[in-house]
Amino acid sequence: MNPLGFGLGLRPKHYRAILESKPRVDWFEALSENYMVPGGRPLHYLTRIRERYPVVLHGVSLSIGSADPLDRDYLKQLKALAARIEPEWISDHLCWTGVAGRNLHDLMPLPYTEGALRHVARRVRAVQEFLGRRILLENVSSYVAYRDSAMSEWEFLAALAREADCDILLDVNNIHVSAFNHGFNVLDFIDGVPRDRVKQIHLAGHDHCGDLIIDTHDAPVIDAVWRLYAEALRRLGPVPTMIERDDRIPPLGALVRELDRARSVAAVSPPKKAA
Amino acid sequence: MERRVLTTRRADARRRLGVYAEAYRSRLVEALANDYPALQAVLGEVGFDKMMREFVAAHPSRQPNLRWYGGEVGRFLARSARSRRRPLLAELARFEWALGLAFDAADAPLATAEDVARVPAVGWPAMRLRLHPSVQRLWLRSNAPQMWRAACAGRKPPAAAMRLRPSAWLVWRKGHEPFYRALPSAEAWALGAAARGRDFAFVSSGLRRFVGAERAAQTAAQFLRNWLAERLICAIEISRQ
Repeated sequence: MNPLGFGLGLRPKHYRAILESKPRVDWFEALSENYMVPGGRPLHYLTRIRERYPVVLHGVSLSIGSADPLDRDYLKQLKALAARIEPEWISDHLCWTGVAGRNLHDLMPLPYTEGALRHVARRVRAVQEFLGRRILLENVSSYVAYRDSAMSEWEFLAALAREADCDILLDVNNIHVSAFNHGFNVLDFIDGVPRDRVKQIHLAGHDHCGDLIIDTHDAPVIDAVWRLYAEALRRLGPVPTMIERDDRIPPLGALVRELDRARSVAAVSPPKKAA
Repeated sequence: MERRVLTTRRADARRRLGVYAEAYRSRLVEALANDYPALQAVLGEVGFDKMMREFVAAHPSRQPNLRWYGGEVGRFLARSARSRRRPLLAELARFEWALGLAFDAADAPLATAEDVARVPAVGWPAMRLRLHPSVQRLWLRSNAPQMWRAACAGRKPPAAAMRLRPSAWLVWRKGHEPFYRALPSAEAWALGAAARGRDFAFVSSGLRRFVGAERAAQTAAQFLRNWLAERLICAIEISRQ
């Protein structure tokens, strides 16, 4: 049984429609940074939506892999937001977003080395201690891989979950994107992550540029990603799933219908019996 | 960095890093377009993109949260070679940023006319007003607010007009929406004094030089009524001094 069901990314454009139409959505994922503001409309709507739906917080600025010290101000704001919203869980990305005080506002992959693993695991433990809860880290879409890497992304993610005692947000679209860009097998990734750690799945669309796939979140989920999602569910069992759309955002109804497709895929993709 | 990144048959290291470089620029410009829609309408999409890419090149982001990245655009436009001869642009940017600050300023309970009615007459001179966190005063020489209104309504913006002396504007939030209006100079001064925590006796006596001694107290009382009705005041406090 999928404990939370099927969710959508919460976008300002849909605030009113959500409150007025009570859509067929089990939960919403709010982008933490959008609500790290003193007050006004964003926090008002998030609070009202939280009164009706479970909410999870998803951040993009934790920069868990950076060589800079952890940003205590950011963590304090995140903790205050969590105290106000009482999210089901808090997630961010396995990446770095800046160095030397400068921010790239992008999710840069890490070199997958033993040294990086120890560094990130130490930081994840510190963050979890500060927040008083486990966090989920998401695999990112990437366009670069480093010469220094000594293991695969999924081996790194699995080792991190074990060492830091954190959970995983598996972005099925990002697996598809990165597999194309770097030439690995999507099923190796899914088989490589520990199934008991995967607590959420992301689905999204992207932009195929010919030589590389760019993760734009501006289009419907493609068929190959739906097939991979079905495969993930067969291998991992039921997992709370949501659709992310950040650009060219359609009316709420269109996303609710896309989410229905996730429900249908999940209904016909029962977990395989463990060997 | 390029030496550390793998080149594959699909794409070389430069192309791969280029994806991030372009994403960085376009993400920041997109955030700025979100903060400055009227500036974008006045400059046109291409002009805005060009000018904001210059801003991005000159201002590496030091903000983890994109919400706070664009605060320096007004100052940049006032200095930049391309825009400093069009001072309207810098003022429009300052005005839009102030509206944005009002939009998500902290929430606060509002004071009412009943709160004032509870203050005995002898308490009035010692009254201090706590203004809503969204309240800001701006001095503009241009017709940036009219320009903003036209741009947001999708109308052709009026011609830029600059005055010699700046005039005061009030920006704040009512409910969930940012508001603005012109502030006559006496009111601008009085609101500034109130914002600095000066008591009502100080405000009333300072208004003498604007409206004369006989009308000063009455003007101060009228301002207070207006400010309460416009939801500018969060609390009425009586100072002990």
